[in-house]
Amino acid sequence: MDTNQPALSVRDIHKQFGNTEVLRGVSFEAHSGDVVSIIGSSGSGKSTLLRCINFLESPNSGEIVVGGEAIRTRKDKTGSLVPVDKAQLRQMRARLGMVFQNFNLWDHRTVMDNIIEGPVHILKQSKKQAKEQARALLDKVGLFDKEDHYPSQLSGGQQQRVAIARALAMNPTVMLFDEPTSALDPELVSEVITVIRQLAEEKRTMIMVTHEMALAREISSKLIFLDQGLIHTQGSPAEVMDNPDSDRLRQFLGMLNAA
Amino acid sequence: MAEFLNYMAWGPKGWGDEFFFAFFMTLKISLIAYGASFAMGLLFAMFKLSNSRFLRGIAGTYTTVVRALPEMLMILLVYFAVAGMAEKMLVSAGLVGSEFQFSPFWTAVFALAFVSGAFMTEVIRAGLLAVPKGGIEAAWAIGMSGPQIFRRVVMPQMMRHSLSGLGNLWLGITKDSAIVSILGAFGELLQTGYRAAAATKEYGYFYGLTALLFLLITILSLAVLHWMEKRLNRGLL
Ligand SMILES: Nc1ncnc2c1ncn2[C@@H]1O[C@H](COP(=O)(O)OP(=O)(O)OP(=O)(O)O)[C@@H](O)[C@H]1O
Ligand SMILES: [Mg+2]
Repeated sequence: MDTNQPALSVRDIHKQFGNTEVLRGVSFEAHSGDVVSIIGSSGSGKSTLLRCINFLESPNSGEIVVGGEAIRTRKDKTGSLVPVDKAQLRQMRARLGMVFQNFNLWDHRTVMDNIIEGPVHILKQSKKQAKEQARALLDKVGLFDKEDHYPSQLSGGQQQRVAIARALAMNPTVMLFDEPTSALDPELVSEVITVIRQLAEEKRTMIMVTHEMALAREISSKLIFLDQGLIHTQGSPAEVMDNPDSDRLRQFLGMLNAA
Repeated sequence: MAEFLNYMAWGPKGWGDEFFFAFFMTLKISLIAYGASFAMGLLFAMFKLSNSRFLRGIAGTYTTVVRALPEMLMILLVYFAVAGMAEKMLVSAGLVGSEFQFSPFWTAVFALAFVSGAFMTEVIRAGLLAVPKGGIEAAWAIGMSGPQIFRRVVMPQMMRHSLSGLGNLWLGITKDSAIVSILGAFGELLQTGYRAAAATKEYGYFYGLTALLFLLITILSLAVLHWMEKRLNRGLL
């Protein structure tokens, strides 16, 4: 990977569902070690943006570049971009570790199996090597004694930490988090935040959709306020949060404070 | 009592070997038909869940027709009409010689699978729908290929959700394998029981024995199903 290249470039992403344009041209970059947090009200297109980055949704136009390599696409007849080369898309996805709001662990597999699935079957690591790495990751997220458990035997916070370990096991260029604490009971939020904070300290490149303003302020190198499918404001957390430059942003931040 | 032991002798005088092979013939017919039925069920379930109206139509017609008609009629139809048509089509396509005929055994097994496949389609469809979408998304996101996701994420969870239905269909097919005795002499259990009973006039004894052997298949099957259930349900709440 060319180190002068941004770890991730999102270039002019447009996405519509039916006739509603959910993303209307979103661009930003994350350099290695950046933490980019995306905030915005419900329905502003935050999840859609994140899902366009790894092509869980196909954008209608735009470009995604990971570590200098663009996901190769063409337009299909419905006007969506489709990947030209499925193998390349899979490689690119493997470099983008995604953590979902609802964890999305494979509940028929143990914690260990969840974590080594990608390394063994996609990266073709040996099982032994993958397990060693998985144990180190479980230790890191504070679950070293849970490798034989099934997801259903874990709390939400524990499941999310396993999901983070599963994503880390692929050693991704960029981590994508979609509201990683929103589905958790309040008392379980902090254990997940602790892990995310630790990743930020280790200079992991992360793109995070979140409503946790305190966390966003603390760890973000850049904060993006997404509104009606456009980047309304971006800047350092202090710039965005302390001097809101518009009524919409003030309104949004006010709503969060009131809640 | 000694008489009954004589009946069970091995060789031309007794019926022991006949029943022994009939037991395995019934298992063989059932296993092959079940495997084919599973494949058909998977295919048509995917048709039913596909975006194509055409494929959904085909699968809908298949399951509706098969489930509407008496099983035995359906099997007779497949055996005599569908197989004949398929033969003619293969011949006119020049893929086989003009005297080509499916073997009665394979036709009978296919007929059985064809009927069971319609019920299988519904069982598998429900099982596929029960697989959590989130896990499939996580699999795409990590970079798995479609076939990998199907094998490693969808199938095991589909099996777990469908197992009771799959088990019922298996037990059903072991019994329905007896229906093929109307199509020809394949030496399965029911027909063997019938022949032995008719030859010796010991109806109660030989039909009772036949029943016991069917029961044995069921008991063995239930043990296997129980084991599979425990395996597949690991990690379920
Ligand atoms: N698959 C879809 N089909 C149709 N519309 C969709 C689809 N996914 C999202 N949308 C619509 O796109 C808009 C943006 O949705 P998105 O989930 O990206 O919002 P969000 O900012 O993540 O909201 P939240 O904070 O509630 O998660 C919403 O109006 C939503 O209804
Ligand atoms: Mg969202």
